Amino acid sequence: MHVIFLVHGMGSSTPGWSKSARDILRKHYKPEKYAFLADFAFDAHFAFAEINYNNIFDRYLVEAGKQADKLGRWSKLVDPANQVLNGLLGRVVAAASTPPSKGFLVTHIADVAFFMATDLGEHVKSAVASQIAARLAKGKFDPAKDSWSVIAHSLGTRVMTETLQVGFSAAPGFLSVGKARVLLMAANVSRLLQEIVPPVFNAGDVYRNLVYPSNGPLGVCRHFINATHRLDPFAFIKEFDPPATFGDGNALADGLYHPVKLATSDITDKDVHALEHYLEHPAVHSTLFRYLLPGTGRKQATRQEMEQAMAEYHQATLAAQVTNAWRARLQALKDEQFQKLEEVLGIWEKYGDLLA
Amino acid sequence: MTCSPSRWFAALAATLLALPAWGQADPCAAKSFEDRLLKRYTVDACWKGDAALRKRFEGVTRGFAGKNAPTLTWLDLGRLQLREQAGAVQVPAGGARQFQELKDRLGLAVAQIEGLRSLEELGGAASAESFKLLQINQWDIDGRDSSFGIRHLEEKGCSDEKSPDEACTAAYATAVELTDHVFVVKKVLSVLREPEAAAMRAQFAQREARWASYFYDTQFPFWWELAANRYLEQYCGDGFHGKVGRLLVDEACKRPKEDPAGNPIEWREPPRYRAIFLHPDIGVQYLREEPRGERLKPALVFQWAGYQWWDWKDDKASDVRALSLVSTVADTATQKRHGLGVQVQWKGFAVALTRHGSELAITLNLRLVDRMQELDEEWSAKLKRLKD
Repeated sequence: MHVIFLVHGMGSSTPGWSKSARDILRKHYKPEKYAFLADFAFDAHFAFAEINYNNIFDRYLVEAGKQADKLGRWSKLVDPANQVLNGLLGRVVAAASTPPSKGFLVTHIADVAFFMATDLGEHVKSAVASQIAARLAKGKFDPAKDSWSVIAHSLGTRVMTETLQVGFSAAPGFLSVGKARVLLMAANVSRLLQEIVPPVFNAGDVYRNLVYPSNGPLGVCRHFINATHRLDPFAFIKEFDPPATFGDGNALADGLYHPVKLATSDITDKDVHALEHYLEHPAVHSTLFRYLLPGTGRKQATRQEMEQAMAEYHQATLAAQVTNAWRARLQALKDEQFQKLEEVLGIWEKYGDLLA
Repeated sequence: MTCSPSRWFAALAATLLALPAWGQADPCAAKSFEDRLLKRYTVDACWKGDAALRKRFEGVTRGFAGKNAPTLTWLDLGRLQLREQAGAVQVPAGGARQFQELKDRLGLAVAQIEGLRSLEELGGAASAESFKLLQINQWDIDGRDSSFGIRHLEEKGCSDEKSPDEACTAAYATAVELTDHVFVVKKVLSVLREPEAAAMRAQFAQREARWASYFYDTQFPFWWELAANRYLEQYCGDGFHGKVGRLLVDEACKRPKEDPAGNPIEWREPPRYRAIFLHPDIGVQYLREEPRGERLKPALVFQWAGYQWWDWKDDKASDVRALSLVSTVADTATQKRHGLGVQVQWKGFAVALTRHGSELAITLNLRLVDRMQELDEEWSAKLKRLKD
């Protein structure tokens, strides 16, 4: 059995979040559509395992809300005219007694800040590692005959980059169950977050770490697929686009790194950043299927099959509930400045407004 | 020997069950020899359907638990198993050259396992290069350097879809023989890593539980405290934070080791202490010099800076203690509203002593107040019972 882990991105994901992504993969995994799949029935070969970590951020925010509530109620008993409450002390009390909002910035961006700049990130990584290890436990998984792969999205790409980096470096570690077969990163923000996080929170170097594909004993996977949509404001700001020296220096030359770049016209839904939007694209799911299957990756969709799949996909883009004016506003985000953190946050906030 | 009707029916039933059901597709069938070869090892029904292969595959697990198990280490058992598999490869005269390549690769793997001093030496990326051929994926049946069977099919021009001819049928049989060896060697290396995999699961689960406890079984950290502590942990070294750690819990914070590019190669372990920084809370203050009826007041307790520390007990932070510099602010009637002093905490209960001018105030946190109330009720109930 080939276990495919699905790792969510930023925002409010709850258990069961991956159903739509799983449904899309099943929908397209059809020998009638791609003949090379004929010998490997989906259910006989693949099993999904959903990874959840958003509960860690949620729990913290709920607890912060309780603290704020308690502090807010009790501090009202102290006279607000009390001069001592001016200055730093007063400002901290005000900050602590303000419950976290449920706006786009908190549900999405706070996840990123918590992950990168606090130990909540360590909690997330340990939880993700633990979920993967539990699914690959003896009795449920045999490294001698079973395989595993990861599909990560958005913040999940950074989470998996950090989890796999340490999980494969340290002992005891993931090498005890073997490397992943495929690592699919959709809307990969690992490089972006490395760049925008203040240097005091050392974020390493994603082009010179262990998270690369390799035929050798190092690396974390056999194939690394990186999918980027040209209009995805989380992916285009600092695109994950490794140089020839990526990993051990052989990943690109050996043909194990597979970049998939989606055109600006390929929009079937407003949320171009969504994992589902990526998986719907024939270039993404056919590349994934090609390397998920056992074998050397030699077999793939034929040119005619891809043309047919793209024709169907383009029909779907015409049916998308997206106006030209909306497209223009999305496109305009690319023309904004995004050198500084506040500029990046500004673009994401505007994208959130576009989805509202 | 007699053959009763019941035995005859049982034998017939077993035979029928062993056959593919009528109309049901053979799960091992494929359009090409290469796919058929790949399915043989990735579909359980296929490899298990070959009794000889199944016996070899499952024999590996039994070998690790066999008669030698009580006297030998897991690594010794792995060595025995790998030597046995290397010995099983026969290079036929004039046969496929992949047999010799497989034999050579297995010889190197045996040499590497002989040079391994302990199983721990095998773990982690640092040793993966030194013990390359003991890594599980170096024996993938479709791996670049271990796909002997697939390569043999390619060499004979038998990989792709075509009508099976005699030559390709023979090439497939050879490919199966080669790949069976690889499949079983991979099983040996997988079982060899089982103790590490079990330790990994236990360690990961423990780390996750401790991080959860770090946040929720200690004084709740506000977001600025989280960021400050992350910074302190990152740059602890011999600095103030490290010295405090040695003083409080006899261990300094430790920045995880990094590779030359600055990527961590170790997990960050949940610490046993944490700095307190600009942490507001609520308490009840008692100031004796205030007029009667005004002595007890709600108060804001503001911890400017301090430390809390604890022990790990069953993956939970226990015996949490803290010491901090505090201000208390209350709407006092006659005394100074603001007082400066210290607060001590133990297991979530906190007492602050602050000086308001010449007077000393005592401030209890709400949890302690609640506890005292509970105790008061318990004592009242006890007294009532005694009275009754």
